[in-house]
Amino acid sequence: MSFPISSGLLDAMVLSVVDRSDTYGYEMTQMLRQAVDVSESTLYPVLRRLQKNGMLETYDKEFMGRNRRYYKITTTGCEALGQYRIDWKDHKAKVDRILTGEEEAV
Amino acid sequence: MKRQEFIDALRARLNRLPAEELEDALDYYNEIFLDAGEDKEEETAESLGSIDDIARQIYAENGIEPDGRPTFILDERHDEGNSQEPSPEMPVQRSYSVRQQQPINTSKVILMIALFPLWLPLLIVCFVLTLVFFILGFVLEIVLVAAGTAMIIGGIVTCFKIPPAGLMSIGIGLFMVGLFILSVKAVFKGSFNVFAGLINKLVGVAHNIFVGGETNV
Repeated sequence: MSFPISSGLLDAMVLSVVDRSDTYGYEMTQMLRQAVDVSESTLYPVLRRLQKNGMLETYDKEFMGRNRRYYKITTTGCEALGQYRIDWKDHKAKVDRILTGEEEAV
Repeated sequence: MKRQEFIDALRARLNRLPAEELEDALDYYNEIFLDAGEDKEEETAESLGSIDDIARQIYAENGIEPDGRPTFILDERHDEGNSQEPSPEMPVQRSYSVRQQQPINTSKVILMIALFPLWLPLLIVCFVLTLVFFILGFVLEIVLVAAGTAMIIGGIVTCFKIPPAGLMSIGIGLFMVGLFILSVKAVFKGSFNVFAGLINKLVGVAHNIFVGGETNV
């Protein structure tokens, strides 16, 4: 079974993927699909929102005679990602405590 | 569905978006198709899901709420029924609205008419008062600049007879002109703003009475 993903978590994952290296829509979806069931359609509003909030920037790069839009993380985005990571570890530890009875060393 | 069909269908549904938003969305989806590969257009369209859902989501992100039942659901059925494109001749109805107008509030209007002898004099007094202040400021500025100039000219003339008195007169004149230059913009802008503000408020009040204010859908 799969777990539904919250929009905050998706924001965090997108920021993290872009933080690793600048990337474009199709590639980003492929990466995220390793963990969650998302489509490019789910991702579009997320990317647009992160852009408008100043967490992501875009630039166009030529690829085989056409433009590819690359996404790049901003300083604001980096800060938000840092906070997301802290929150996630905290959340994960709490869920693990209940779900598996294990105490994770954070 | 092929790439071009998909893009055209999406464009038809997103016709209420600002041009910039529309182009951004279409570019994004176009790129996805090209990156997925030309031979996989059908599969890509399938994986992207319903175009209506995509449009709905984009509208929602742009703060445009579907007003009741969006018309493009009709297009969806049309699409599924015979996998045909929504024909461009069939205009997508504009069923989105952020604000809805309410009928005129009759009781309030009647009340306003009944209280007419009460609020009209008040309104006139407000108006006249503002006008008086406006004129007062205007006159003050004229007096300042006229008296200042006169003092300077008079001072220059007096300088030849009684130099200390002449210099003092020039000094006072310069001071007045300086005051005029410093205050003229503020006075005119200030009284204009008060005037504009008053009219704006009146319009707002009238709007509230007749339209019944904004209603959120």
